[in-house]
Amino acid sequence: MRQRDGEWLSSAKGPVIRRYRGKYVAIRNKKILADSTTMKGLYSKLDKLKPGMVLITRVEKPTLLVYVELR
Amino acid sequence: MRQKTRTGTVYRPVIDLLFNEKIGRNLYSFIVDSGADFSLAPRQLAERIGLDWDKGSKITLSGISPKPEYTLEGRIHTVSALVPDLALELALPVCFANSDAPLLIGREGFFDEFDITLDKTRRRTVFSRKRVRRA
Repeated sequence: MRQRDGEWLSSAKGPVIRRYRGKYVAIRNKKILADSTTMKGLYSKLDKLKPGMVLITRVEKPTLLVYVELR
Repeated sequence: MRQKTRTGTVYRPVIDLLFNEKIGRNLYSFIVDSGADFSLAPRQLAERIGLDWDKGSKITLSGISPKPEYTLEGRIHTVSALVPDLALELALPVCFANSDAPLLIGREGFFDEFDITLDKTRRRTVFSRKRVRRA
């Protein structure tokens, strides 16, 4: 299930991806069950839906990624 | 994972990790970031798995901007995470940022466990468990 969900997101069409750019999403059975710009918001939606185990990831914005350093 | 950018399509290496939460459990898809010292996740995930965020080791996160106003606070906790594909449980140090951070797997605690091949041409990431050397 989980592998299919990850592959499904990776191969999803442009309009689907565009809709969720910059958001955290929860996927189950090739469907996005909940989305939010914040993890808090996503958890809040999942707590209401109680869908069982989901795959959570963030759809990045269409930029090249450079991430942080620790001090 | 495939992602369109303004300069074309890029393929990012990801791995799914399973976390036991206060109620139930969920899978999280992390980007494998060989340049990151530590793994990174948002604070809410720490709280979701029952950690007291404040009790972790304090750290400051900064990006490419040198401006101090663009820094974030983080806390490092060692958490238990399962790699379902390998049925392998890891004790993984994760920096939980006080922000909606991306989900990244860095080197510490993870790259110690695996030989990792990032095969860009074949769009494949291979995680080979390191053999334990016996004396």
